[in-house]
This record gives sequence, structure tokens and C-alpha cells, in this order.
Amino acid sequence: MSLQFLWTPPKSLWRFFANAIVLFLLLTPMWMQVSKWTSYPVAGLTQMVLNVGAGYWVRAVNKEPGRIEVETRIQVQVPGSNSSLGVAELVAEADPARYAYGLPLFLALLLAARSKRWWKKALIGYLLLLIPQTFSLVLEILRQIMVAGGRPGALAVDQWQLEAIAIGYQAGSLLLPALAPLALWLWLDQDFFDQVVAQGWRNRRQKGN
Amino acid sequence: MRRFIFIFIVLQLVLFGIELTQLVQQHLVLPWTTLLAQACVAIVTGFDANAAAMGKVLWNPATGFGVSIEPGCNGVEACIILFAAIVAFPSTWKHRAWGLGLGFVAVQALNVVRVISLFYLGQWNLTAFTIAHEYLWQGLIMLDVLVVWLLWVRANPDPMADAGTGAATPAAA
Repeated sequence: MSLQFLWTPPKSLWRFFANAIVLFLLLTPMWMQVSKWTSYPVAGLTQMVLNVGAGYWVRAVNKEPGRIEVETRIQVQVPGSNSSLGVAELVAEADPARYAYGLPLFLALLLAARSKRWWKKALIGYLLLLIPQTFSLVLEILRQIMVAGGRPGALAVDQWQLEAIAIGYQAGSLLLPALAPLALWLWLDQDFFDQVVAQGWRNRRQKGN
Repeated sequence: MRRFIFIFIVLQLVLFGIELTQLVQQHLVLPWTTLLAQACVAIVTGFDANAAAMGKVLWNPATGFGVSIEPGCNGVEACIILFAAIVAFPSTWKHRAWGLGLGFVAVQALNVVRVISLFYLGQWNLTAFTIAHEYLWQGLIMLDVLVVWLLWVRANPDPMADAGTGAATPAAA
């Protein structure tokens, strides 16, 4: 086994890991209390994206803290009915905070790293995280429309567009919500990476010289 | 840094795309998920005789409660992120191999803890199960990925070997 891989990191790195875990566990329940408000802009951005990108499907978007409801022009058969009276317009709804749990994760990393001007970075991070959260929410709503709307003909789209929605939804729900806060933290907190992580290389390089 | 970001994003997209194909789902992801469920049962039955596995479902026949291990719960996506981050970062292939092997074990070991904890949380309280499932464990698994990656980067024998520069701080470059 490579001895270098088992090289013991400094206490500061272990302290960072421990603090990040504890802070994330503490901040998540606190975030849940305010998530309907912190994620309200996500609903607004989602409304804008849907109106521009899926205007053919979307009739109206209703939003309130903790909930977004999209009225569509897609007609679906009401289960258990086979007459024209049993046709209804599809409504998709979601919680804008569903994919926003990256915010407490980002704040935990920022605080655990004892970042300078952390409040400024927190504000920038909050604003930038709205983008991937909007992506995830848009794709969540499009997926609902796709699943309930039926075949491509009924939705007036091509098969490849449905597949793009399916892949986008998978990425928006499985990858982005957790990856985005980590990537953002690494970008905004390069000092931590430089001082705590990269310092290890310098020390070993000096010992080697 | 730009090189790292570019390779990381490309690898992410390629690997995630491959993971979603029917062929890989059928012959790799689903068997792995089933194996994960069986591993969880093997551990749980060591102290709880009521647990059983049915395909990718870990359940308790006595209470009827079960957890189905779905995409996002099998640790595959977390491994893809770690894989992309390790391969994209300048290092030797030997060091990358150690990182990939030990990283895979670290992520999957924590994932087993996640599945088992959710199995019991769900039988105790469904609200606690939902919070842990949708928010807490998602973040903790990603923190695990970050911990492994930072330790791996810190232990990197010669981070600039592939980059062809003498800079000591690639993250700030």
C-alpha cells in the first residue's frame, strides 16, 4: 500500500471535516424552517424559464412560499373515465426547496473552513446556488408533464426532447444539488485549499530538497 | 485549474451518460444495487432476524416496512463524482488507482450505513426518515466524497507531474 496515501493530514484538516459534518447536521434543520422563503426566488426563476422555454405547455404558474403549481395546456384522460367529459388539463406542482439542501451544506463548509469574509461569500453562494436549483426544479416539473402527458405526439415534442428531459432530470436531481455547493465552496474558498491542502505538498517538497 | 475543471465536467457528463444507458443499468447498476441490498441484509440480520432482501428492496416482513434502493441511493453517482475529481486532478496513475480503490470503499461503506440507518429510521418515524433521506444523507455522502478527495489531494506525491508547471498552488492558478 502507498505510504503516501496514508500520510496523516494536519489537525486543521480533521477539525475542518468534523466541523463541517456537525455544522451541516445543525444547519439543515434550521434551513428547513426558512427554506420556503430562501427558495422562493427559485420559484420565480423557474416561472421565467418555463415561460420562455416551455411556453407551449405552460398556461399559468402559481407560486407561494413552499409551493409552485404549473397549469399546463396538456390534456390528460381522467383515470376511470373514457368519455370526452373525462378529460382534464394537467397540473404539475413541486416544492421549490426540494433540491435546495445544498445551501446548508455550502454554509457548513464555509463556516468550518473559518473563511475570511464568510458572510460575503455566503451571500454570493446563496445567489449562485439559485441557478442549479432552478435547473433542477424546471426539470422536475418538465418530467412530471412528460410522465403524465403521454406520448411525444400528445406533448407535441420529438422523442429526443423527451430523452433530454429525462437525462436532465436525472442530473438535476442526482448530481447537481449536492455537487454544486461543493464546487462553489472550492471556488470561493481557494485560500483554504491553498493553506491546508496544498501546504502538504510544499512541506514534503522542502523535506525532499 | 481550468484543465481540472474541464476534464472533471467532461468526465462527469460522459460517465453519467454511460450510467444511464439501458445496458449499464441492466448489467451493472441493478446487479450492484441488488448486491448492496443483500450486503445490508447480511449485516442487519447479524443483530436483527426480522430483516430480509427481495431484489433491491430491504424490508421487514413483520412490520411490512421496506426501503427500495433506487438511483441516487446506491452510491454510484457519488462514486462517479469522486472518480471524475480524482482522474481530472494532476497526479500519477498509481496514486489515482489508490484513490479510486479506497475512495470507492469509503463511499460504499458509508452508503451501507445510510441504507441501514434509513431502514430503521423509517420503522421508527416517517418524518425523520424523509428528512434523513432527502436532505441529511445526500449531504453527508457528498461530504464523504469531499473528505476522501481532499485527503487524496493532500497525499498527492507530485501534483504538478502531469500539469507540466512548477506552480505549487494549482487551485489558485
